[in-house]
Amino acid sequence: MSFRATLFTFALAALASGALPSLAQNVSLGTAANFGVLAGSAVTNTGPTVITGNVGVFPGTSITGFPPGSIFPGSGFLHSADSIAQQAQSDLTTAYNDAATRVCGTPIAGGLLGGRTLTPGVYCMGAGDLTGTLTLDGAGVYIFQMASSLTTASASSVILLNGASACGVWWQVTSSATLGTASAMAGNILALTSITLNTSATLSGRTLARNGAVTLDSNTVTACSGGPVPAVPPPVPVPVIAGAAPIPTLSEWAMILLAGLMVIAAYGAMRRRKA
Amino acid sequence: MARFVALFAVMLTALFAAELTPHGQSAVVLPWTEALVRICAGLATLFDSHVEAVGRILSSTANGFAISIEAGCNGLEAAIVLIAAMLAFPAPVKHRAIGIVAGLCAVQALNVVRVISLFYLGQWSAAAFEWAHLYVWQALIMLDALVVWLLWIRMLPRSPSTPAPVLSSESGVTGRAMAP
Repeated sequence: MSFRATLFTFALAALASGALPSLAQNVSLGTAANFGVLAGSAVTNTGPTVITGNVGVFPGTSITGFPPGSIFPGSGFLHSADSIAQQAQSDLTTAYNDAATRVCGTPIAGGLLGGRTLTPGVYCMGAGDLTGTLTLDGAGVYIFQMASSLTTASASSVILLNGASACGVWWQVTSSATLGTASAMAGNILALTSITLNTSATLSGRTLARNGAVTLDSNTVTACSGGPVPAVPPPVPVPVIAGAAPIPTLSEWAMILLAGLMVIAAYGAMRRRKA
Repeated sequence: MARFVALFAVMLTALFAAELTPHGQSAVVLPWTEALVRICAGLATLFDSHVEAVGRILSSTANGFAISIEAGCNGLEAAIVLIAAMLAFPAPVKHRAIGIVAGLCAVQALNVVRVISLFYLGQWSAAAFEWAHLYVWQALIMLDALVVWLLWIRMLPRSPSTPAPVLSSESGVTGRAMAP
């Protein structure tokens, strides 16, 4: 085997084994990419939260706190247990399973993320804890697999350098994620249970909870777009068809009643005209 | 009286059949519905800059709430019942024309108020939206059509010299009446 062929074989093997994580495919969100916030049981907001993207819940129905919370103009709608949110939840499950089954490249001891500078790859840990700053350096896919929870401390942050994109960062959380007060997070959070954003926490990415609630408090969630191939599309505002239920101006019975009343009135009028 | 009832039934059948045909839907119902949404959005934006209309959907950019004005929500059915009654009732053509135009205006004006009120009611409370949509506004639209009908009957000459024949082309009448 020539040197060139040997090199090519090694490169292929490296790609297949995930040893070149920067070339790994991005996670695909499907229609869940249209949502800035998606929950399984409820979305609860306090304060002037601003979401870029749709806000939805399925199979739960409760979305409260909008207003004072709002959706950035033209970026989305509220979807309470409708078919749009249902499909997004289905696509979220696919994305979650994809992120969860990627081969772990680097275990993070103790799940301590603060103060580290990481390059693209798949990182796994038990419970994730971010205190201080986590720097993600370089373009590519970053997947953080939490066997349990993810917690960020107050004022903690994720910094993206040298082409790293929020849409290439994935937080696969097997239980719940909590972002501390005034923390600045980047990436798409895919949680099996719930997600809580404490006061004034900001997120460049998405909060997508499969089974539990998303709780917000005066936050800014900006659904990112772009990132590694396949790029995450920008959120498309999918309108709610609130009046689509068959509740017409007049129901069939109301029209029959109206016609009957008109006939009675006409009968009276004709009698008066004859008299 | 029997003649009126029979003609009323025929007119209702003909007008609703015309409304349900593909041509009736594409030429009248859908453009009418989209015009209604644009009118509602135009009026709402006079006092609320967060309102936008896309096709048959009226939405708020402030909180994402949206309503869809479907074919049955445009007030045409109530207008058709009123128009059918006016065509069936013995009256001069001039009075019929005035009655149809006035009836259309009355029903559609109230429907615009209905849509705008429901749009804001829905943003405030889903339960109130459903209740108003199902009960309050149906009753008010019926009352509106009935009042127009009673006023129109009262305004008719007591004994028309020559009762005009019923117009043979109901679709044509509908088209003229809807033109404004």
